[in-house]
Amino acid sequence: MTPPASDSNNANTETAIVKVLNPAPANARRIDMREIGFKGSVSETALEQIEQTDARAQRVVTTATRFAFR
Amino acid sequence: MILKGVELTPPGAQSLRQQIAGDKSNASVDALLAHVVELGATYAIVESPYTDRDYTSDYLNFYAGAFKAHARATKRVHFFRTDISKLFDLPLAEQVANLERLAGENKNYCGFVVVRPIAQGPIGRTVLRFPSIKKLTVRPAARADFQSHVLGVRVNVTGAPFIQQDMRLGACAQAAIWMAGRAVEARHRRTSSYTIAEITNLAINPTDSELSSSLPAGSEGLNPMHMIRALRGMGHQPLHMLFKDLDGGQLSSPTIKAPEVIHRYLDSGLPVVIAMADMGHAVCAVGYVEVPGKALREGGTHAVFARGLIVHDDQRGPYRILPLTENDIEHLPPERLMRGQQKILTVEDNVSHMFVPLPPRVFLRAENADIVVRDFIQTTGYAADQIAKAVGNGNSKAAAEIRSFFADVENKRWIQRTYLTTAARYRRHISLSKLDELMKSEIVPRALPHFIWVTELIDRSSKQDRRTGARQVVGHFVLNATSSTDYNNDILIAQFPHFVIHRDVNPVAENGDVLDDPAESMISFDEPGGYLGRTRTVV
Repeated sequence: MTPPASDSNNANTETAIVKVLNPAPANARRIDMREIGFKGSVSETALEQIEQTDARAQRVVTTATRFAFR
Repeated sequence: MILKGVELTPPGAQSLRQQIAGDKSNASVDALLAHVVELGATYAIVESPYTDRDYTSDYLNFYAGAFKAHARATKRVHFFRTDISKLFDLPLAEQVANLERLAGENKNYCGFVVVRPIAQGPIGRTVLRFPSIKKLTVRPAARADFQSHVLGVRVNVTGAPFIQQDMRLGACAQAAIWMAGRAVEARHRRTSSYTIAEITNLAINPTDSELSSSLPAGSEGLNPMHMIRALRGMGHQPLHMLFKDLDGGQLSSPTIKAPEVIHRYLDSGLPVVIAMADMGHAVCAVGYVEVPGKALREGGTHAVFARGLIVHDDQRGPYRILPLTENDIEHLPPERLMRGQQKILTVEDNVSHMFVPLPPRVFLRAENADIVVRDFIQTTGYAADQIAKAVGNGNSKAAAEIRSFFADVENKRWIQRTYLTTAARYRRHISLSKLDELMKSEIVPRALPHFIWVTELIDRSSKQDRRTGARQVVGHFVLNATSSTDYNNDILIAQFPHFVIHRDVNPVAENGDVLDDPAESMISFDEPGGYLGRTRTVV
């Protein structure tokens, strides 16, 4: 059975019967990181390291047929 | 069906060995029997005949067509820690009731071995419990629950499945893939169950000149391409890694540290097929052993606490140990060490290839997740003063602890432990942990993809909580494991002492458009937020 569509006229009724069970803590101290000049982008050094790892994975393909495991 | 009981006294064990391997030397059978005795097994029940699905598949695909007649049925041997022979003097109804009670008591059931009627490779599908090793902690990776039946009574064992190659349908490569695949199938239920014959069939199609040089095709070994093909055909996303440089076809010094790389996948609860090119041999790593105390060596990954890998080697037996380095050898039980030409093998010296059966939706590799986290900590450290001021908010203790944390980053005090898990398991662990309740309520409701990498930061001098427990975590990171080459969006949650950075990778502008740049926000807490990390223990 299709559930009844939400009726904006009954919003108050819905509010009374539907509630958020895990609300975010009201007194949490939130800071936008841009306000303190922080941007967590990955550095060039890290990207180079990642490229090296990926390049290693690609070399596997060219060497894969040289070995047989028995 | 006939059940025969064998007391595992030295003569009894010898008689059982004779039933399994005949007069032939077989290192795997010897190692297997030594393992069950070490588990405390004192009594074996041999069930015959037993129809095993794996051997039936082998039989259909090869043995049924051979001119020489091969037996159709197998035997299955069950191992118990107590002598249950008297039970069989009782009426059948009482036998069942008593066996049900006994099997469940105090790890009484140690597991089972299917014995194939194949002289060159008698050990079929086998599941035995993980070992306990003195002064070390065994961390199972390819652990799954298996059920078998004795007299209609269901008995359970948790272990890593083992099988021997039969040298007709498959070689060590297929046996290692079978062991990895069966463990994933039994634990995660995301792939089907494949027999050795089916694995070979996946590996050899399409065929090539190398495969065609052996008859039946694939019976004399597989190369890495064939192994990748088989794993893919089985529904895994194979991750292949080469640990050694090639110089004119010869292997020279390692460039990526195999112990660190392999350890992360094992710590994710995944089996890892590892291969040794210099020996032409493949095995399946099913866990690792770690020390209860502080780090053993230099390095920034969790492998600094590990001594060796626990390995199923179809030619040397179940639960062998492959030391990480030469320095680890003397601290490990000599009878379980893997030897090749009288030399003890190590991960650092001998392992050349790795194959990980990853879930199909994981696109971020562990090595890259680790690099991204290390970089993020570094970047955050550049803003440590501003963060300390913002978090401090009048709390000088919190500010001092944040500065101290980043000073210790420079001192290389923190170890990164990176493992793959699901959002559900992560949330469960965090919810049950001793993490500050406010931090929990900030972290647990965050939207996460199904698969995530978690990196725990651990003090390199920390010890296990009680014996075999986890180590204290000072901070942790959650990364999107389903992301690929989008490293600026990989980290979703970063929990440092006293603050959590949350990254919204799908920020929405006021006009409703989804923005490209992620939005990062910080929430500060009075408590630092330490807790015990995830742990896997032998059951």
